[in-house]
Amino acid sequence: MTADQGGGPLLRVEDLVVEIPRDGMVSTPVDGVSFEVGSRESVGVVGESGCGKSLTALALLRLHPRGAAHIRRGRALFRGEDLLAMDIDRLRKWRGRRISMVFQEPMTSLNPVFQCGDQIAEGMQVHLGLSRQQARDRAISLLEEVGMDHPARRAGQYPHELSGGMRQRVMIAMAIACSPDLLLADEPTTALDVTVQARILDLLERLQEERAMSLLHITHDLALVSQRSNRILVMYSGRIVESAKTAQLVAEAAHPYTLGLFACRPRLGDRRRRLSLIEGSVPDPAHRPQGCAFHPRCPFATARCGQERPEMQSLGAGHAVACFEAERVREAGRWPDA
Amino acid sequence: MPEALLEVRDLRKVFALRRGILGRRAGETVAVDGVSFTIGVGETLGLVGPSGCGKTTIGRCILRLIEPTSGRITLAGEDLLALRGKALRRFRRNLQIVFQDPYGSLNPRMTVGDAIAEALEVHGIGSPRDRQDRVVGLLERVGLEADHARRYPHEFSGGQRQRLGIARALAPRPRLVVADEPVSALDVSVQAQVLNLLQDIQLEFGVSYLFIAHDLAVVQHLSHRIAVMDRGRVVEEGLAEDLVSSPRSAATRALLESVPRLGG
Amino acid sequence: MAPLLFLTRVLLTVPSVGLVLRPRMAWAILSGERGGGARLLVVLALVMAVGAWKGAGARWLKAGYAHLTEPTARAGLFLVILLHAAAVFAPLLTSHSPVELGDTVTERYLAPSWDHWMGTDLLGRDLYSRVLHGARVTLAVATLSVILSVVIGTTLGAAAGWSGGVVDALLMRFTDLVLAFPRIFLVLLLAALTTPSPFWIVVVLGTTGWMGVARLVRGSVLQIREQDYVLAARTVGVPPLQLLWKHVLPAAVAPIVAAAALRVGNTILAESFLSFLGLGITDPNVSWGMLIRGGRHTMLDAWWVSTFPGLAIVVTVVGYNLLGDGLRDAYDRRLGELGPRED
Repeated sequence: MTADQGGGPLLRVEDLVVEIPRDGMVSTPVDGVSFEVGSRESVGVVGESGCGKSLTALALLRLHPRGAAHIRRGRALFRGEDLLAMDIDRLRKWRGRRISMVFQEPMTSLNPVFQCGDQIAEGMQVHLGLSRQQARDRAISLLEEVGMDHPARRAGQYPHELSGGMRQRVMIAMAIACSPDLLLADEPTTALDVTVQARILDLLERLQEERAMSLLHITHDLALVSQRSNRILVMYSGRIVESAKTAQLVAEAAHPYTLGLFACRPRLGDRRRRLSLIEGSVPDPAHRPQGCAFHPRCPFATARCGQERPEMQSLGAGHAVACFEAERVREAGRWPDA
Repeated sequence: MPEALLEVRDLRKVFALRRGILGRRAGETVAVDGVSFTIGVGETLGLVGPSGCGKTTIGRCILRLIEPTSGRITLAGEDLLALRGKALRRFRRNLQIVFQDPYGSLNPRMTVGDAIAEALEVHGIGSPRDRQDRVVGLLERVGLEADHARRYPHEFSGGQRQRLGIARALAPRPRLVVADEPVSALDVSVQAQVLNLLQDIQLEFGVSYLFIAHDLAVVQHLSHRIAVMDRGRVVEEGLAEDLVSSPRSAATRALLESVPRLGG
Repeated sequence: MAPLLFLTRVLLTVPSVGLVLRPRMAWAILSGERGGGARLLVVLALVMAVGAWKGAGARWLKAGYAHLTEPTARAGLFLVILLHAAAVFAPLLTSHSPVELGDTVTERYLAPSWDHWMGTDLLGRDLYSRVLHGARVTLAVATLSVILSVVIGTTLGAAAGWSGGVVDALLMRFTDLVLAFPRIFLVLLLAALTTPSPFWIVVVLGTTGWMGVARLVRGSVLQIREQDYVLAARTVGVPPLQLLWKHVLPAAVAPIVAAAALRVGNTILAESFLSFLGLGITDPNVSWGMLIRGGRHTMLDAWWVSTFPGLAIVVTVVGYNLLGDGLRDAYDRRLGELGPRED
């Protein structure tokens, strides 16, 4: 708790590297990630599939697939204590209580044979030592808090009796049951349709403010977090390539990849035009191109980008970017059309 | 409006809820409740609405994967619901589907070449050699390579599989493709690639689309006209630009509001 | 290439080469002079040998072997191959005849020795040779009856799951009905009605063991038929039977194979039990259960008569169960891989 008093960040990740040994080769899907999440801050992590964003979140709680992946190095200081180095039993007590997680697929993340109320209650019985009845009552009020109609009845239902949106609300109720300081939400709305998505995001925003939590929202859709997060981290091929306050990022993105992510989403009223594309796909982490991993897809790339890897450099006011051409990119302000 | 290709009149689909070992009828849900629309040749109709509004059921009825309870569907003048057995199977080449889930829509035990060629084989189109050429042509058309034909689906990424799904749907030269949430399982960046591909293909092959999705931003981007659905009914229909700029129904407004916008 | 895979191929190939080199012996086996068990094993080995070296068969074998990652599963496979090889090559591996009577005074109940590895029985017959020849009948009967029940179960299960509705309800109620009778009761009933011979034992065991397979297949078919790729094939106009054969059943094969391997062990026990009771295999055929029966009165004086065939049963059952478990685990693992993915 000492770090907190000093006004430091709630979570501070330093140079996290996660490796996957495969066929005698080693691939590094998370390749030196550093970032901070402040107290009561909402941070968005954005990137395409395969950029390592989910694995980063899993590694923080040491929930990455055992045997397949391992943490090579790095620290994850949560209130000054290293999550990656601490005793696993102690971390287990923290999971769900101080840091909890909401996943993309609410169907497979809920146990099909337990009633929703009992699943929410379970964590509180374990972590808060509540009796079965107390926990059950709390579960019902949590269901109400996450906006479920007829919370008492819903508590007695099984996951398959609920719609996707409702299941995600149950997941969220489970995640906030023990009042965690940090909520990791990994693509929490990707499996849902847009109207439900908007409501779930409203809910997360409201809970984050009311409960004074920090939120790390992982998504592939930049537009989603650009409305609601305080700060955004853009990840590409295992590294953070740009980090800025949301308004800054929207107004003056300095990494070409960020511009690309902005450009490829269809906009209302903008019809039947070819969309701008980031051609190609995220490289396999075992075969990253030399230099900047993005350079083969980058319209701003120069010869230097193919040889040297750019490191994060500050552009001032909390804005940092890993790109040699940051100035030129920021001036251009948009992804060039195809 | 272009010449009509598909006409759907008063389509209704009621699902019976059955209970117990004897399958007693215990109630019913009206999934589609009297829906009518037309799609012209080379036109895209966007069918949009929240999940559970019946849009997927409509697509499946048109493809005759589900039998509608009542209504009339004609494609190029042919009464689709009157077709049975072999005649139906022969007619099916005119109607194809692209699915949402790129992981489930290709047989994991068939090479993608065989999967694409299957339609040609079933309908006896071309010699084995011709078929191979057409498979290669289709693969290249959707942005993949000829030697991908020998590979299995698990060797491809989600976006590539969606391209394969499109190639498979195009193989028998259909007149109408039902695209059922073809991009909603994909990354935003890959969505754009697939949307562009669908657009190019329409111009090139003159195929019509029934484009089913929940995201109005995506739907309006690709569609000429849009029908908005809510609880089994079409609540608003019109030209895409009109519908987006001056929505008349509450359902449309709700969909417009939920579209994620860039903000900060 | 994995040595075990190579061994499998060679072992599967040798009998076919042998058949080409010794046409008269081949004829004797194939025409049935050498007994039905041997014939079927040889035919099976021929088919598998062709498959193992060529095309799809080799791919399947390789893929299947690669999936068996647990050492216990590989040990199971090794045992199974070894036992089948011993059965096929029994005449080459023994120096005594399994049926020739010995001198009832000097050669009855000889304890295991260098000359008679497993001793001799009441009539002075070499037990080692009898156990090895018994493997032919026992393994052939078990394998064939499992194949029969898999065929029946798959047909009924696929028909039920594919047609749905009334057909499904009727077939499944019928399955439940058969399942409600204890199997042993059915087996004894049928065995009493038929003449004891390997053929009828296969029929009896095959027709009483298909219910589990039927349920398994029905469940898989119900689930697979709704997969997008099956719907896609339907929209292309693939005829129903081709749809079932090409798109649905291949996806159901893995769990069936795993279940079948586990069933073989069970079936060997059932056959041994019948033969022990005298309702199964009888002279002049030899099976392990029948050999145990032969030694049941002399368990204390001539322990070897029942013990060696008993051990053979244990080893075989363990081998098949290890293999079956391994296959099932491999299948479950693959299901896991098809589940939700991370980025």
